[in-house]
Amino acid sequence: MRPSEFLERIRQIQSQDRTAADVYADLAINLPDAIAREAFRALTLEEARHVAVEQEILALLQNDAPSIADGQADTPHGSQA
Amino acid sequence: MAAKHKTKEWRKLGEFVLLFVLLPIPVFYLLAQFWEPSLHLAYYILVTLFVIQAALSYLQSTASMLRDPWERQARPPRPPVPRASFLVSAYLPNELQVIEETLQHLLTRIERPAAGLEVILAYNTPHFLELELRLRELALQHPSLILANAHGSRSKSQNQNYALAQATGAIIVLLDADHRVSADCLSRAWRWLEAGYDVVQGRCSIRNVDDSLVTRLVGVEFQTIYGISHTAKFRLFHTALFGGSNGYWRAAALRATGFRNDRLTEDIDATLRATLAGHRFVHDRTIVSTEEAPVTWRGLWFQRKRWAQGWFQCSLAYQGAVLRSRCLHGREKFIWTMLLLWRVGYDLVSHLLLPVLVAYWLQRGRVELPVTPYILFALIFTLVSGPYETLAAALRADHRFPGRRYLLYAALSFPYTTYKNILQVIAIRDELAGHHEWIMTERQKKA
Repeated sequence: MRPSEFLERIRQIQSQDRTAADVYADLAINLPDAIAREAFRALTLEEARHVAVEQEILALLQNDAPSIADGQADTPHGSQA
Repeated sequence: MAAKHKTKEWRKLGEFVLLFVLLPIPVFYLLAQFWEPSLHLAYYILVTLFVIQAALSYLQSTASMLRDPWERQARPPRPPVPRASFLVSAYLPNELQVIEETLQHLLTRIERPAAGLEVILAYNTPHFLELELRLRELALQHPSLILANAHGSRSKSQNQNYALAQATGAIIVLLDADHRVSADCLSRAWRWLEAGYDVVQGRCSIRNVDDSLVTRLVGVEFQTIYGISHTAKFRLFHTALFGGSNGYWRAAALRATGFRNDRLTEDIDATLRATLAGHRFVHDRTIVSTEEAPVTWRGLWFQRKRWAQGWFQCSLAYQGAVLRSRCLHGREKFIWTMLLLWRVGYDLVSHLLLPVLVAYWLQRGRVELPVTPYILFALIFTLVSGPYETLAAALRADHRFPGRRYLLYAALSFPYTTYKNILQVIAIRDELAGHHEWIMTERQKKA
């Protein structure tokens, strides 16, 4: 995997984790069952932790390797820069 | 639901006829009994309003017929472009038909900056859709595609703000779900942003022009709007507006502005807030994006009513600030006042010409047109402004239609304009009555 693709994959996953956190947070408030609400509250925190760790990884990679952060993303047909 | 909406709109049209056509007749007639010159005065004032509106149209049409230096270049210079984020807003399942093709287009056809590009689909959906599985497949193939499901979102603004929080580009491009932008859009936009502007608005063109009479009219109309009117505003008055899609923002400017959830036209609202904050807008008609127009009169009615209502909201909210602003110079204040206050006043008052004439006939006891040289001039001047604008649009079209289509538009410009003016009055009525229902533009199902 190219470094730029690695960064992009983390951003993709981070977006999915953000949505998951929002959905879990919604369920943690709106479900009638208290045990289920507690479980989703825990999942919300877990997803938020994922998002934070992913953000740390991105910041680390962007600070340590600016060339990776700038990216040389190729299109399926090759670079068009 | 559709029948319920239709009945409501017909009732509103009835209210319009009562308030702006029938009731004013006895009012003007009685006024003339107390003060005879009042009818003549009203008549000449109304005719002069038409003349002023037509004069602005001629000015804009003429100014936009010239090409600027960049337009004359076959291939403009391509400065290095920084990382860009495309934010595509979609309201699912309404835009199911178009969103996959739009994403494919962005991921495979756009000239990529060396610094990279990301495509963020900001969407909301009432329930899980099979499309989402296909979108995940697409994301697996294209690492630069980010699927940002804005859970709980109820509006385009919320989707856009949600995606904006995740965007990493120095340029942020805002697109609607049905837009296909030109491959070189980023380099064309960047030359303005690099020169110090904060927002670049490109031209929006209609793709489905052959679907119906409505789309044929709207196709030419968009050429007048984006090719003539918006271009002229920038050239003459040094201002432009973000029209909701095919807009290229400097990331810092967009983050400082954001989108409000309580506006029907969040794009115009953002434009005004950004303009009043000192951000600079430019309109470049060489950056072309195509979109789909509503196919039916019903679809067009609800779309344009929402736009008109949103503009009215902005008129109420920002006209005062425009006049007081220290950021805007005189020409900018003038054109924004024409777009905000003048537009509202003109829409409300312009319909009174017929009641004034009928009151005059009642007073005289016969039907006659009070024609003087000035009235004759005003009539010809006003009626020719539409065809002149159509000619200018044809000359500066990004994609020229057959001549008969422009002739049709020119011939129908007066009734079409009247249709839109009536719609704008009804939109004002809805806003004052607190009706903010957002009826999604219907998408034509492909065979």
